[in-house]
Amino acid sequence: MKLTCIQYHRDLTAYVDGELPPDRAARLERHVRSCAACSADVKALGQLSRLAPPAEIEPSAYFDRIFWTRLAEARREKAPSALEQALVSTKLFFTSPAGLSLSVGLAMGIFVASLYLMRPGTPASLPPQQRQELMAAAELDLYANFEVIQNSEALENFELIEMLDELKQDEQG
Amino acid sequence: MNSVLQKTDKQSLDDPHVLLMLRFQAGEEDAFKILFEAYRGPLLNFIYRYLQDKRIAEELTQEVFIRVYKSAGTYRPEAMFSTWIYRIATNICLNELRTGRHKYEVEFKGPEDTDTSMQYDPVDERSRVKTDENMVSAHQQQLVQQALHKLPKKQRLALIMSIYDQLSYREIGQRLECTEAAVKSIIHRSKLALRDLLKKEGMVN
Repeated sequence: MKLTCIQYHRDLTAYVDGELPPDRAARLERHVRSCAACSADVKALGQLSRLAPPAEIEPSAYFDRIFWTRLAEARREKAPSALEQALVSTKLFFTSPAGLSLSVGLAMGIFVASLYLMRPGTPASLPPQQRQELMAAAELDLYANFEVIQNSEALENFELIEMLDELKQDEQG
Repeated sequence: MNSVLQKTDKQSLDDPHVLLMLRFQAGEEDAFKILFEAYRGPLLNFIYRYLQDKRIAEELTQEVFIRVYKSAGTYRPEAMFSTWIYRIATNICLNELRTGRHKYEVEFKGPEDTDTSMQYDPVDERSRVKTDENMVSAHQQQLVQQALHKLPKKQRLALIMSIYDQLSYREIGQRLECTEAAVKSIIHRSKLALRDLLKKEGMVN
């Protein structure tokens, strides 16, 4: 294809379809008259424009009946409930940029908190019974003094009572 | 309805079908029935030319009208009614092919396999000549359909609108929701591709 043909070629279809502005159409016509290749393309594209459409079809006998039935069904479809609408709104919020930021923030917060709770020496890493005791003490504002409580006089007295019990048993024995 | 009219393209109000849609929007069910009667056949044929399956074309035509019915509340007359409803039909066709709900195949049939009602009748010589022409025409029609189905779906739609519906590039652009320049490019590429396919079949020089 010659350089001049390339310049004109992209306009050939629009020319055949009568979609080219008059001045461009006139220039292209002058080129086509002197170019056998473009002239053949114009002829072929013209043949396409004259292709007969497929035979028309008619709606089936039951077409209307089916349509009105389908439409009645579509109209009966219940409107979304308040709960469904709220769920859709929530879903829309969490898929919006603000909602996504909030979701990511929450996820990161949970992740950081879990790392903190799982670190060694913390209640989460202790055996269940001790963890329960520590949690209970923390709730009673005694957690800070837990070690003190463990060494308190009450506990020393408890050991003393145990020793006295043992002595009594020995005496009886 | 006044608030709707304020947002309206005033030219579209000259379109009687737009006015019918506005009447339907205002609660006149009969206006919808008139639109259904007017567009049922043309839409069916438009979709059929694209998909080549009458049963599915009927189902999708009904789908178009259901969408029209459901969108009455939000309808804004911003274009000719035909542009609007064909845009819905176009989207439904494209979506149908995208989801691949159905398989479409245009089977090849030679002249000897075509409809028996068009075969040689020795009793009537004149009808024989006409029958031969019909057979060639039916055969060519199948070759064209086969070729069309080898093109990308948007190119095929644009070609059907251009060749069969004789729409301008502007109208095709409105239905496909793209610019005239884009339509020009799509039509040019698709017609060259169709020409090459039909050249192999000896239908085009």
